[in-house]
Amino acid sequence: MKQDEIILRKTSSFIVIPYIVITVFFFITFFIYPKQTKSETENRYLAPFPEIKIRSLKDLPSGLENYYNDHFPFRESFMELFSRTELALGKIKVRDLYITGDYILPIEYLYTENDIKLSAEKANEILTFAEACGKKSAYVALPYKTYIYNYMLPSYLQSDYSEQNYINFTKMLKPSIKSCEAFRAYKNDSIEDTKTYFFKSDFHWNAKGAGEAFLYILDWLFSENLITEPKPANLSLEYTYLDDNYIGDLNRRYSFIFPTKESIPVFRGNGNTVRYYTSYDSNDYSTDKASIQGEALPEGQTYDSVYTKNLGYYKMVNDNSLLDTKVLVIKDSMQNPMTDMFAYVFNTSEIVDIRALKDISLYTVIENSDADLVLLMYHQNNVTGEMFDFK
Amino acid sequence: MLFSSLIFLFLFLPLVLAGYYILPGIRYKNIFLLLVSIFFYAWGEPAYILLLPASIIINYAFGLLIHRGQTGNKFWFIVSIAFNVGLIMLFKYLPFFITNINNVFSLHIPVPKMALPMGISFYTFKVITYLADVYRGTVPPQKSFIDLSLYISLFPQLTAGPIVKYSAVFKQLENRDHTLNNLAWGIAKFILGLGKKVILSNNLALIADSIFNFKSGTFGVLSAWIGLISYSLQIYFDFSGYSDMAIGLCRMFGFEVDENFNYPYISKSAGEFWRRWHISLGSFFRDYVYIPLGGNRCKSQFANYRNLFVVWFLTGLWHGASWNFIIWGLYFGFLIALERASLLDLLSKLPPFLQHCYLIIGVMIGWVFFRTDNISHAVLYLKKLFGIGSTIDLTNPMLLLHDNYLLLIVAILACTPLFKNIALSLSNKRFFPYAAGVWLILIYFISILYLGNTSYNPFIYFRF
Repeated sequence: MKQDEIILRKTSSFIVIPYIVITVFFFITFFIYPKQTKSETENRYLAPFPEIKIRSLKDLPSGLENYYNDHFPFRESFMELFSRTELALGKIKVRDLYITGDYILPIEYLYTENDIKLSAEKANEILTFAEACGKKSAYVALPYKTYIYNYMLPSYLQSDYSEQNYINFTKMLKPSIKSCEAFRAYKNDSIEDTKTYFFKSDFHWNAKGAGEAFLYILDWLFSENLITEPKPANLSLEYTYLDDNYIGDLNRRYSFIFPTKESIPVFRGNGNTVRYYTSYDSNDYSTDKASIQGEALPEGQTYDSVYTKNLGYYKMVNDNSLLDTKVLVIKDSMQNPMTDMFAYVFNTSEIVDIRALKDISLYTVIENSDADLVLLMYHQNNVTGEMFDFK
Repeated sequence: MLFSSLIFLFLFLPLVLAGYYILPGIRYKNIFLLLVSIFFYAWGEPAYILLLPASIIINYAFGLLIHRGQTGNKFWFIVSIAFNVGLIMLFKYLPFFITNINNVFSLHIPVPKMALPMGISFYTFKVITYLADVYRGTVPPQKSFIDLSLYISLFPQLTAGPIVKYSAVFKQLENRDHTLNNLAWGIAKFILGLGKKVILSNNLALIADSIFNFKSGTFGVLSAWIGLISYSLQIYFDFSGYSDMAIGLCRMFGFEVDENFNYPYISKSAGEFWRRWHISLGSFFRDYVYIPLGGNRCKSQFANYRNLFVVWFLTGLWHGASWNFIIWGLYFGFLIALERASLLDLLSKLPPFLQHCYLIIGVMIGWVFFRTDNISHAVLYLKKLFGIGSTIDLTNPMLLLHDNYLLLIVAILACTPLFKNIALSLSNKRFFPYAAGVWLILIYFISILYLGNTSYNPFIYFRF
């Protein structure tokens, strides 16, 4: 302590004055700083000022602390500075995602048998039910962004967890259920091409990546006789590119410090002949695809605005489709860039996202559907959790 | 309310400091500090809001009763100790004892479920030092109810110590200095503690947790060692950081409190380690348990070792109602007993570096029991350290090293007096006051930056 005293004797005012200035600055600023209701970076609502009730007085301190933390002055700027510092230090794992160059990659986990067991049972139930309703059915595993792991990350981070998850999941499916390994769609493509199939700053792929997988799936459906009509000759998909900024979902987590200039491929097909039904029990429709799309942000396009938003149920009918086959797709958000492709190829496409499916059971949707084919189409790592909570 | 929370740093503390320094005279300052300490306790422990005031009132009476007569009143002393130990037993150990009785005798006695009152292990021990010192006659009983209340409840030491003996501060309750130097010293100590906690400990915790939380043992040897090294550093910076903040806060209010840590990881023996780690707890057990039992001056060797193991059993048990903590305590008792028997002589013949390695490895092995949830988890982790068991590794040790090597290097260096020695060697330079000020403010700012970002902030020692 004596040595500390020697050091501090000369420095007292150089410590006390800045400390008081900083502390008083934040003390005052907290009261005058504009209060937000939502954090864009964290994509969540900020804690409101707690209600003061005698019955819940014991919760008041934690409520006030949460409120103070959430509304601390310049919090969003601190978060941005934190992200920039972590990136400047060259870290690979920042905010629970991997960073490599200007690519943000989700982390790949190996699920245990217990994690997967329940979801596999649910998948068995729903696809068996579809068969019992006179429809053909299949499970389709789409490629996830972790597909490009092994090309972009150091060797010690490379793994085959995605493939393992798929294998472990399909092992638990009934032998009669057919599984399409659509994540193998890129096996003959170069890494440089494959990288262009995914948005750099988003969890998701883009229409180009989705298109490659879509063609693979179509081939597989024909080869497995799940589509019985003749295969269209020379089927190919043409893309246009939007000239706009892209606001990736993952970029938000880093206060948008990653570039927003990204290639945004879209496939439009013969969209002007498609009727979009967004209500399950109504015959009202729109011919405008905007009815199933999200709105772009002032700063640029989002995954929802470029492709489709995650509606619980919508149906597309195309009288000029390449096939007469009708399909019902139980999907996660990876399907969104395929929407126009489904509309282009299939006469009727019913698209169901169980996260947003309200007031009606998936079983009822399948039972009442006139689809020839039911596809359970999730990305290959989506083998557990809420997406299998079929009701 | 954690010292390392934004609401404490920028709302509670500035208001308390302003109020404290505005008030005239030590009496008003003490009353004010007492009121904010009670508020601080009520904020963190609304469910037991009456426990601390009740304990203060009763112990105030005990102090006066013990002092009646020429020598300490043994009856009231025993009653007072039984009351205070009984309080800890009731809140901290009763569920543990009942669970074990149920297990051993296959009974089904209902196990009470109650939260551990905040800081009870710390303020009860402080009270015991007061009562014991009054009984021994080394200090007079505190006549001022306000001053005794303030000693017991002073908010900087309330939740996690240090366990400041009454004899060390009772004069300061009535008379202490409020100088710019004291304030600066307190602020500097507080900021350094904040940095230890927020910048080092919290980030080390993320590494340690990422390994220790794999309770299925699906991690390899390298990961096990990275996890253990990180935890060893985390717990040091967590608790010494908290202690520094507490000591700094005390000094801001004029109280001079002894250091609680003195670079324990530079020790060369377990005995030395415990003279440098949680010094206030070690000296409590030495002065109020070990020496009264006879210490190491008993006639029989058996009694000497019995005393040693009683103290280390209690040290382990004090840390938590769990067999892991008891084993951890006895493990250190065993190491120190070995050192006393002959190991220390053997070690002294080794180069200092190897003595140091012995201590570091020995302490880290002990931390396995301290960190794991139960004995089987501890055994699993120990096996992993030595490559025994499943070879499946779901962690990424190389990633942990890649992303955290700088943190680990800084943390290891900060365990030594290196930075302090550098500061001392530069203290005569003209630029030093500016550099020291900038350095501290930089730590303060980086801590704020982290606090605005991270959700990981609990203090390990709050659960004791």
